[in-house]
Amino acid sequence: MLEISAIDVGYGRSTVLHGLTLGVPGEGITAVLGHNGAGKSTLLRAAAGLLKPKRGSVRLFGEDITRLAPHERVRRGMAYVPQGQQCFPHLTTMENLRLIADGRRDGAAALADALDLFPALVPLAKRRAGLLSGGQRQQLALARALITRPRLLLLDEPTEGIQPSVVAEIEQKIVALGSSIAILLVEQHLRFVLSAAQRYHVLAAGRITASGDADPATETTVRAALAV
Amino acid sequence: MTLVASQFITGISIGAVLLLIALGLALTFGQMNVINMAHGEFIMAGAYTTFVLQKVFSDAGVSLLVALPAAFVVAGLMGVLLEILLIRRLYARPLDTLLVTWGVSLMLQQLARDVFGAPNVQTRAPDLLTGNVHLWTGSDGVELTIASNRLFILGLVLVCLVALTLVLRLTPLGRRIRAVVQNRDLAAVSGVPTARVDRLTFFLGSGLAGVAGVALTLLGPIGPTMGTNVIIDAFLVVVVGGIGQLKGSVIVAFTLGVLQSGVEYATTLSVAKVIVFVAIVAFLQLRPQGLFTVRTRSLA
Repeated sequence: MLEISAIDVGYGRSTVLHGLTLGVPGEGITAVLGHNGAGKSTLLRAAAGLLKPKRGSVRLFGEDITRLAPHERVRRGMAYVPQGQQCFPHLTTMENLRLIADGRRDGAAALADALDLFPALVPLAKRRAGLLSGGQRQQLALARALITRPRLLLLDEPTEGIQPSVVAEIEQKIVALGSSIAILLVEQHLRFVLSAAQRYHVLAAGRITASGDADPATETTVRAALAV
Repeated sequence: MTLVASQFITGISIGAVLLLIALGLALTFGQMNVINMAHGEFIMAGAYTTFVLQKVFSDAGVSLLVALPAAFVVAGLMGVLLEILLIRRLYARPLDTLLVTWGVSLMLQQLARDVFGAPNVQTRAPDLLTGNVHLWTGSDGVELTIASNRLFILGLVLVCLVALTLVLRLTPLGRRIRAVVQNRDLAAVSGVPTARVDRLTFFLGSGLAGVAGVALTLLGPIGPTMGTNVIIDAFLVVVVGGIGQLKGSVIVAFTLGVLQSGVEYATTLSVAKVIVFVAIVAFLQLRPQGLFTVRTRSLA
């Protein structure tokens, strides 16, 4: 579904990803693990179109999308939930969602489906998104992404900085989503990754250093790969 | 008492003109952070649109009513053209944008000179908008009046303000504009076509400059440099009001108007200008971000 081939990506003159190649199959969860600064978020930003590779290509469903703008990628079935529970803080919860539903033929239905999945957002509809808690903002971010009815979801540390009571709920939703769409997940929480994902890749200094099938039994192997 | 009220009304009418010329800039500069030095020339384009339409329609009232939407479209399209040809290639390069748009401003002024001639020209005001409207007679027998053209401008700025607020608050385009202002990258990855939103925002902002140009024809003669004369005031209003919020510009425009009117009464026009400028500099020393500001998060 998503094929990233030999991309060099960076900021200005510095290169963060070096000839990175990675494939995401049509369904299930593919996890990317790695320490801070390994290039995980850069990888997702490049896939989402916020960073243009200096070299290499990105293909979605066989189509070369390397030069496509981010919103064109969304139209082709990709959604990206960046790190840090980002929202439009001065828009209300409902405005955050309607912003995405506007202009979509199935917008109203998609918005209703997203609210069904995250009913906690319903009573917060008129509250400014900047006033929501971290957990609520992350649910809003996921709901926003799902309104576009993605076939591929890029998730950057979806449980980071969220109160533990909400983490379990969000993890559950991610696992459930993984059964119907493809997810490329960047996550620090190793045990969750190994139980939820089907595949993992370890990223270090902008290169993939280890890959394999994710399974709780492989924890020691993955920890060893991460320690290198 | 009547005197204070009279100065206050003068101040409000100065503020209304200030706000009208600043409203478009509050969108393009305030919301998009584009320093467009040619914004004043869009005001001029609006004024000359009125001038041209008066050649077509003999009735000054009709030509004014036709000029308002026509100037909006003419100036708006000029803005879109500028955005497509130059500004979008210079996003995140404010100094280059400033220099390039200043160059465009000079070219547009020369174009106006070539087409309409260098001397200022006068448009006719409708009969309804000449003379004064009586508001109130004080106990001391002093009459409180407001020039009808200034009352019209006050009404016009209120209509523009309400319309712009409704567009920003209630329409899909408004939501998109606000989203792009608050977090451009997040808007892009959420599926918002940010380049198209920029273009439409520029159309709206430049169009409002055109409407301001129509209003200025009611206050005096129009000429190729009329935009340059008002653009600094417009930038001041937006900077002091704070980037990304309309309410800051509204408060500042009327406050500056009343302040200028009051100080001008006590001193002279030049001293009032100096005092208002000093007050602005002092204010910006204390609050460099302006009165209000939208806090945004970058997609780090």
